[in-house]
Amino acid sequence: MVVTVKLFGPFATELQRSEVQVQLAGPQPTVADLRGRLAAAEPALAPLLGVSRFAVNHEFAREHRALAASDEIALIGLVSGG
Amino acid sequence: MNIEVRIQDGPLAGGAPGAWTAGGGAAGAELCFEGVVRAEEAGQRIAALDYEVYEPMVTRELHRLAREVGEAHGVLGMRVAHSRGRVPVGQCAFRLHVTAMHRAEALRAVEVFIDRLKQDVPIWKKPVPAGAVGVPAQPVLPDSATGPRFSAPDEALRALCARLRPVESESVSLGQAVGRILASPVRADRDSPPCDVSAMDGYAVRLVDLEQPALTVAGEAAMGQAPRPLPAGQTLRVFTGAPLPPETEAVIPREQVAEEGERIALHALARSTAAGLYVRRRGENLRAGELALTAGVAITPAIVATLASFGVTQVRVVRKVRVAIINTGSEVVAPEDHPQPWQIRDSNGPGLAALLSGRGWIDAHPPARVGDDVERTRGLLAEALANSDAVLVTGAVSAGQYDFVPDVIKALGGETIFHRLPVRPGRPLLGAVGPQGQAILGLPGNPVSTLVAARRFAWVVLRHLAGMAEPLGSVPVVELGRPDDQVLPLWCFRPVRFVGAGRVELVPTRGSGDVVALGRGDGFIEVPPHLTGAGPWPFYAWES
Repeated sequence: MVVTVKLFGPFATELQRSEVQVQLAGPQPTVADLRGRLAAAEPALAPLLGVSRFAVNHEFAREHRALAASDEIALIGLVSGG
Repeated sequence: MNIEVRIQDGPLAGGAPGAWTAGGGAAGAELCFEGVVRAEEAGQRIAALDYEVYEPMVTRELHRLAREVGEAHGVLGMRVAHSRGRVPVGQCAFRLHVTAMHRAEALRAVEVFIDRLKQDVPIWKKPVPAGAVGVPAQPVLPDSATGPRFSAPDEALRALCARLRPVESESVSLGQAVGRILASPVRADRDSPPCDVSAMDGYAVRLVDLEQPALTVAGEAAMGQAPRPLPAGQTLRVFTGAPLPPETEAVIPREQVAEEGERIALHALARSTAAGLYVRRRGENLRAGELALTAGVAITPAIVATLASFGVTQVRVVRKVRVAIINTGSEVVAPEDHPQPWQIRDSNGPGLAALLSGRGWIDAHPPARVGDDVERTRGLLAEALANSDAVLVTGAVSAGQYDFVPDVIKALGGETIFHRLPVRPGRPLLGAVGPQGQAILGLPGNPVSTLVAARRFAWVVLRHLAGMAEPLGSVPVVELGRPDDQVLPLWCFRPVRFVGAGRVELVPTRGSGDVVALGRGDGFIEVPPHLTGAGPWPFYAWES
């Protein structure tokens, strides 16, 4: 299954892209799987992935949350609003 | 409770707090907070901030936050507005309007809401450097002001190391390998041990023969010779490490028999011997082809012994990491000179050289002094980049008039990964990648800052370049005796000395120029922001 992950802020600057496609294995991949695959596929993101969260369909998701190809997924690193 | 959330393009127009009557007459307090864009961001003058907003998640999160915080503090209404896109300096980018019965809950709600906003709401600001307003979007070099900003030393180090490739490997003879970094995994070329061997001085037996009161000694299993067969109903005299015939089921220690010429009588204890006792089976340490050593470890004398036992006489190691050191500062003279009172002897060069010396995996060039000469620095840095895997530059890295190092690095094609970290000492620290992937570290020039930053940061980067599997290493922790009450919003590196096993005390210091205190410590502890007390804290030794 391939999912699209939206990128913002420093992550988007780092990769010069606003989204990235990630290939996930297994019948029921989770947020934790995505985190691992993304770190491997985009080493430039790896250092900050540990302190980042994923949002699935506009809500922060826990690590065991199962993912579907139709989900809107966003990588939310350190934010700086206000 | 009345909640309104609004995302608006560009700056927020002037608010009219009194016009909003969320409380319907119950309100005794109306509080309006406005966040205004300041002219400086991360030490750099800016013209504006560009806000990136992830919709519809931002609106949703702001609603959720307003409801949670409002209910927790018993307020009557919350109205939130945030800008999207460009907001010039001096203009309002965020407004929070709280209505409550009394001022106390309104004040608390504002405080908590803004704290949570800065943690949870997917909005990112990006500074627009002064002079760039109105210019079409242009790629900006990643710098602390525009790229990721790091809140912890290891975070910055990981980001830098992620951009640096370890140097290539070479082959050296086993005798030259100690202190180098193993570049390839090593597999056993044969079983270890390569045949069954005895773990005791004693007698090799079959268990069935232990029924007999005495056994005839058929001969000896001698060291260094092929094992001779064990005849049925008899025994062989064996020595520790001697090869055993495959039919051996156990070894009876000498102490458990009475030796009578060429016969032995078994003690009662020997009769209850279990299968395999005192026999080291072929391959029980490792089977042929299995992994004996992983790559990325420093080769110790023990590893040399392991390599030798598997017949590795030529070892694949990482090439030595070539390191150049450049010291800036017009006040600095050679240690052997007689300085004027306004001059100081160069302690950074010798200190850094000493930190890197005696490491089998580092090849450090002698330090160079360049004064405050920008052109000379540029020339030497260019030369160093051509001949080295890593360059350590001390001084001129902050934001003062004579701090030319960041510009020189940029001019030579270096890309800054971090500049200025929340640490003390060493705040101006700069980490960059050279045009051919070299590591460049701009170390603050104060003697204490230089050595601390080198030990804490350059050290890890060099270990990464040397191909070490764990560049951050395993850092020991120590307990701090008689802690003071210093609490700072920074990572503090504090000089300490040992007062017992795993126990240290602070060395009194007057700051980052205090070379006297520097020499009185055994190393330094790392205290994270906002923390104080006995720890335990990570400890970085000068001697490691």
